[in-house]
Amino acid sequence: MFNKKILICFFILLTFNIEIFPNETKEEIRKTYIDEVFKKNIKKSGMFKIAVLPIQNMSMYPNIAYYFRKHVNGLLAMKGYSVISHEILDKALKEVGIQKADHIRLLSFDKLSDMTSADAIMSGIIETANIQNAAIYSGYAFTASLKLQLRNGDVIWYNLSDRVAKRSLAIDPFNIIFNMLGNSASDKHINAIKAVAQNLIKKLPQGPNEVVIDDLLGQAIELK
Amino acid sequence: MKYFKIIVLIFLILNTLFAKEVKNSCESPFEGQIGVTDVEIANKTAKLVFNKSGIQSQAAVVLKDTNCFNVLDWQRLKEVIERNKIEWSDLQSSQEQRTRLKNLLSVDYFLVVSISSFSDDVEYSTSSFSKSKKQVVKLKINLIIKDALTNELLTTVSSDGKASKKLTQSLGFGASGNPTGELPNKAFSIALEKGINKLVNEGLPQLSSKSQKFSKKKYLYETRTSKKSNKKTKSEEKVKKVKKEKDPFSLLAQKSSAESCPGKWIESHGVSGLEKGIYIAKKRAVMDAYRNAVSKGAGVHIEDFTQAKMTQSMSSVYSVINKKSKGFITYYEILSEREKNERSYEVNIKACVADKEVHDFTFENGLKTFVQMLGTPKILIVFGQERYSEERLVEKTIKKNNSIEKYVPKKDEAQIRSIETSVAKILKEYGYDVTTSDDLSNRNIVSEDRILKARKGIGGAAIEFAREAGADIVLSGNIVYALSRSEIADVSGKLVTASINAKILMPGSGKTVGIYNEQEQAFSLLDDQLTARENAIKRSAKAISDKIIWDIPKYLLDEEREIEIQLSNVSYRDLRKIKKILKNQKEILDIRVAGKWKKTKAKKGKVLIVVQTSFLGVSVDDIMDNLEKNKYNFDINEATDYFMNISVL
Repeated sequence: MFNKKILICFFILLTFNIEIFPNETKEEIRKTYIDEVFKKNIKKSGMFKIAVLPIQNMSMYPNIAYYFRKHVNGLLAMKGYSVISHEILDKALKEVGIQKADHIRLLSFDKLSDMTSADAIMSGIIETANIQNAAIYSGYAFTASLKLQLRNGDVIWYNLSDRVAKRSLAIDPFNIIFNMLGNSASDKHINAIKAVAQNLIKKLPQGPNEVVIDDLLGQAIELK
Repeated sequence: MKYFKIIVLIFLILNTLFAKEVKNSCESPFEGQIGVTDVEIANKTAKLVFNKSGIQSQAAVVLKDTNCFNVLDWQRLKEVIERNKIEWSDLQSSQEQRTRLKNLLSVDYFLVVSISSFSDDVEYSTSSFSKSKKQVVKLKINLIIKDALTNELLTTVSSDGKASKKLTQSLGFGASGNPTGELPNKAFSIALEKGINKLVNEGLPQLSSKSQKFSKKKYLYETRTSKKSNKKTKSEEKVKKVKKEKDPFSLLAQKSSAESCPGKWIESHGVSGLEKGIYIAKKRAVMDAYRNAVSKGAGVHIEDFTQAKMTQSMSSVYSVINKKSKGFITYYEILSEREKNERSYEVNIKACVADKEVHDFTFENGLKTFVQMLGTPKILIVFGQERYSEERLVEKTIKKNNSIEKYVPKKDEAQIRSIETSVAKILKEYGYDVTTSDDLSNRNIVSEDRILKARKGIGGAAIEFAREAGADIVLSGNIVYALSRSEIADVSGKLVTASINAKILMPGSGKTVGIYNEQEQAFSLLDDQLTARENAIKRSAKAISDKIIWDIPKYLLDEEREIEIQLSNVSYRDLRKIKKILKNQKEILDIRVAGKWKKTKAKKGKVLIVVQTSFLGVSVDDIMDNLEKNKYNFDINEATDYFMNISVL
């Protein structure tokens, strides 16, 4: 009898609660953003230099942030942007006391932009790098984000949480062994993080530099 | 059961109401007042991570919690000093300024917290089923206690702190995340607590003896001034027995006793003239007595060092503390002292003279005694650092306001602090008065740019500001270190090689008198660069300091000191007369005219003369007194320990 009363009270309160509080508005987080002025004018500008900061790494894999950054640098160059050498940038950061990517937050944006002659600064984060390898089930998932800011701090482009994942289920012993060997190879992880970088940069508009890929082998003159 | 509950409840209420706060008790509380004022952060990353005022408040709280000190938070010291228009350099010479500052500060000592090294690393490890990431923060702090008035470094302790956080994933499941910002603060708290405890247990006894010394110096000054005012009444009681606990010269005697003397006790007698005041007279009389005691006890023949060739005789005094000599004085105490007549001061001492062939003793005690007798020479330490295989100058152009500027990054200062502190600590142990380049910067004596020049190894820059700071000797040099991966017995780690090159410069003559080089290596497991680097630096600092401590007295006594006198409004005839007067003055070794006498107006001209003397020779004041005695009147335009600009009236 007592339990029934409690249950009735609980449901009444629940109904009351639902009536009092309006429904939560769910605002969709925009995953990709491009500043319209930037999009219009980028092609007209003579040169656009980007400095890619060291990437923050929240995962358990030490090297992927390095490969991710290196690949982003390459992709930006392929997109027609001029990229500041990461060695010069790292040296300058080291001089002000930045020992690792996580320390960049300790610097003000003004100070950061004073350190480089770049027109824009790109920062990024590797949010997850989960690799499961439980014989029967194996897979990996990588998530990362990139953001591009002008020297004055205005955000002109971002692409959040792009994910690359691969899962496989194996029931036969050969595939189990194959999965185990496959997922433990570090090349796979590097390729996966490169794929994430590719997905992220894909949404960045084409830069002002014209990228010409010469067929050098075709142009070669055969020496007799 | 019911009553039991009531009793427990009453007990709990009473306990809460009458509970007393349990405070830390200090076994030997320190009487002086300490102000926590300065926080020095050498490491660039630490500069970004830590907030200076936060560190200062934390240090004040931890210091207060020990209940050993009366603590005063002096966060805005610099502002107060500036507002009151007090210059640190004035404090050296002006008693009035010292009293003014003393009243203003109401502290006897300052605690300076310095973060000398800092590292924030992430260590990754992998096993078959799990992966982990560990954030490790390590830092090292130095706690320095300085005299509030003289800025003299009294005691230093160093401690380190380490804090870590580990995140683990098993089979790809588990938390992942970024390193936290809490760890640096945690590591600092650990290091600070360790450091303060060390200060209480090790630094406090040292500080107490220094504080005695301070009060004794003050007492001596007061007795001297009161003595002057009551000269007539006190002239009848000229002979005065020395009260051991009120005389700085008897500090060493406090440590000694007949039982602790490894050799034999010798009583000796010393006399000196009163022309330069009672304090200098006493110092010289003690030296005379010291020389006599050595001569009697160890059988070393020493010439009378009041003769003109004083440097030679003082070198022979030094030779008795040299390791090659037969023996030396380990302790001495003053038995009596008095003003013998209006012209001279007399001191009788009892000295323990040890003979190397007969007695068992350590040379270090003798060196300490000798340094004390020399009047604690002031040493300035200036070190720079560079890393081998790294570009000496990283040049980068940056676009700023449409112009290209050359960007020259600053060097990492952490190692400089480390080496300067390590050397200073050792020299301090032997009784030298040590000032580091950081101290000069803090006291606003020298600008940062000039310090950087000196750290780059430009001897001229170091000599220039050593003269301004009144240093007797400059220890300048640099440290080069190289990192390499190495394997010892199949264990891999970091091998750090630190090489120190140092030279000893004399501000008096501007000459380099000694060059030293020491190289040490340190190996550390687990790729712990920081520890290996610290150890290598410390070892090489120790190696070089062990040599230098023995050589400094020799350099001081052997080396000639030059005083430049810029004479203006002087006729050529006067110049010749002045040269003659100074040549006849005792303790002036040589006198020469630098350049030409240049005529400026009717028969008058200007000229630069250089007076050569020894470390314990004449001062600028002595020269002036001598010239005035010979009926020359002057207008003084500028006067330092090494230079004077005067015009003849």
